[in-house]
Amino acid sequence: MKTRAIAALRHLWQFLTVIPGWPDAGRVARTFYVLPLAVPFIVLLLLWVWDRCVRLPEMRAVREASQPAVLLEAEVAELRATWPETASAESAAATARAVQEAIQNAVDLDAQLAAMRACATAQGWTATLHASDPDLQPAATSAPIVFQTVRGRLTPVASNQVCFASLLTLLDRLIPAGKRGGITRLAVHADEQGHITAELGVRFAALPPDEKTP
Amino acid sequence: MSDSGNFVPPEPGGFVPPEPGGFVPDFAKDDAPTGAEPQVVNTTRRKVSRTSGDQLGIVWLRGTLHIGVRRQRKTLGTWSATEPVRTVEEFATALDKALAELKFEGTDTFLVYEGDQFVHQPEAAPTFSAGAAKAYLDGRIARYAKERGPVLWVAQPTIGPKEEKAFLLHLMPQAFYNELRRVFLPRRLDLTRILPMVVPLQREMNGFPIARGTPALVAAELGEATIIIVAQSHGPLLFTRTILASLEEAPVRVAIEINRSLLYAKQQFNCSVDRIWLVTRTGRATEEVTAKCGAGKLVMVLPTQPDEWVVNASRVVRSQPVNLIAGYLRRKRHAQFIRIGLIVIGWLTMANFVQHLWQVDSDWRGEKQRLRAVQVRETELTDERDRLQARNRTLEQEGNLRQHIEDAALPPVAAKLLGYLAGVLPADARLTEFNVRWSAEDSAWLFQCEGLINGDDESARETIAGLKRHLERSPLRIRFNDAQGAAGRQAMGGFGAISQQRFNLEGRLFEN
Repeated sequence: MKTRAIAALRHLWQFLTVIPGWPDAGRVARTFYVLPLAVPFIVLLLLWVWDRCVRLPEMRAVREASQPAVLLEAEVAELRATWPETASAESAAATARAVQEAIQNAVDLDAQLAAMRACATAQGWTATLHASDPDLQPAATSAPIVFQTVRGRLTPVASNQVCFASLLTLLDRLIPAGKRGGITRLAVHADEQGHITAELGVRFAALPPDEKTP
Repeated sequence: MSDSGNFVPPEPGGFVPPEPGGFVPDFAKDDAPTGAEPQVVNTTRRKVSRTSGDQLGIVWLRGTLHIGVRRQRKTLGTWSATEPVRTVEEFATALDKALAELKFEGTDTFLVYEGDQFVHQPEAAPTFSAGAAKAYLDGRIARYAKERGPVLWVAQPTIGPKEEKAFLLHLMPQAFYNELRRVFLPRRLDLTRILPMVVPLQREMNGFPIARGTPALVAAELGEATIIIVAQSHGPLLFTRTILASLEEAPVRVAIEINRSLLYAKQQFNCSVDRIWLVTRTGRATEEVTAKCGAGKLVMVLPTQPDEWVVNASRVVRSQPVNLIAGYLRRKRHAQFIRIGLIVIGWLTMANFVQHLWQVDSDWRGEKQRLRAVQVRETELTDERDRLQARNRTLEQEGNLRQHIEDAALPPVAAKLLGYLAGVLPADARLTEFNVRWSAEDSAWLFQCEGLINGDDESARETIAGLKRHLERSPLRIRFNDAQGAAGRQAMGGFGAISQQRFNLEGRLFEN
């Protein structure tokens, strides 16, 4: 096997280095003759060895050393891309506006109830409104707000000749503008004489008593 | 042919080592030269130009040796041996003299040889197929080699006497060829062709002013011998003979042999040869030939000096098939092709790889710079990450808060349903009770209403059914409960009482 390999190598050497017209050329002459063929392959080999043994390990080491920082940079980029830079200010303003639409406190609630009574009076109705305890009506388990519910009874004043039409108008205008709320229950009763009374339930978005505005 | 595995053609790498430790060709090991052999003579190193296209023509014919240097179509110089050259040793000595005188700087060499070591043997092969003919020739060569040792050979097609495939086998002992190589290699002469004399002679014959296909006999002087060929002009050979007598020195004997050759052609090939060409230095033998060959034969003389064969032979095309070492030329071309291909591939691959490395390296420099910068900013990035995480948490909380506040508002479905129902209620019907409430569990509005309708039971039922259909098709998307209470009869007492039916509607709507 070894002999064959040596013979094959010798044959290859002779094949690659034979000089046309000078078959008995010496080793030096043959070596010079084979240079145009050998140089690129030798250079390729050297470059490959340099690439594998010098540059790639260096690249690997530098990359490994800086991997935590690179991951951190990627994380920062991802976090930054989640929201635009202007989102903070816009969100703060929108949140402030939204919070203003919620019932702030008991005083605010009383003011809204007064506004609702005034609205009813303006439509020829008398509103009897009672606020419930807001702690008992959380919007959800982890919700940042609670629902402030209001129960009420509407009776038309004696001079109201258009009870039903005014009731519809009243129901449309009952929730004060600028507050987030809605009628959750409505019961209308008409007796045989055509007298109408209504009972209703209203809920408002309200800040929890101990919640601070974000 | 001899390049098909029947002999080992001269390998480009087989050479006599110029210095100790060099490679030793196989023939030098197996067939160790004796002290008297020419390869050990002190050969003066020639100045060789490998780019030179000059070729050295050697015509060694029966003791005469003529050597010339040709550059394309010009003869740069000729040299002829003054003494008979019969052995390889004498040939080597004469070659050295010629090289010194001619100052030949090239390497390409051809040899036209006629001598005892070169046999031309006619063979008739079976006519079945080319393969059968080749197998037959291989068998003949094998037998010849078994009897006399390895040979170089080449088969030249000829015309057979009886419509059969005929060949003229040119046979040269390999031992003799090895001796020749030992002469050529130290002198940096690249022997590319070994031609029998028939080849240049046939080429010369094709230039004679005779019609194509016309058979002719050519007798040429080869030193101490005469070669006779009978062939068709621009066609194949019929046969060849070598007479060991000079046309100049023994014209009578040669004339007899020429006459015999004519008779042989007539008998064996049924071919009447009327034209005889004498290629010789003088026309001395013309009369004898005319006398011996009888009337009607046209005898012509082509005065030719022996050294002119160098020129004639050099005009034979290189790819001429009747060449004992045609395989060598082929292998040489293949080797050169492979070498050039490898060089091109090597340089292109290297250039590509260098370009790739350069690109990768410039990319890496940029990446390295960036990685270093990132490493320097690691603390800053940590702070930034914390800040962004806090910011994003805040934004999510704010968004959640806004969403919940917005969700607290309900659409005015209760008032809308009440108004819509009042609007579509028939004129003879009125509501007494109306309830609607939001069910957060079902995400739907549940309603129930009661009322009275004038009319009998049947008409009230139809009216209520029409009302229900109307409401179901409304934009409020009302769906009534299945166990819907139908209109019931209510007796109204009193004078002039009107029949009234009580009705009850329950359902849900998905408007929100």
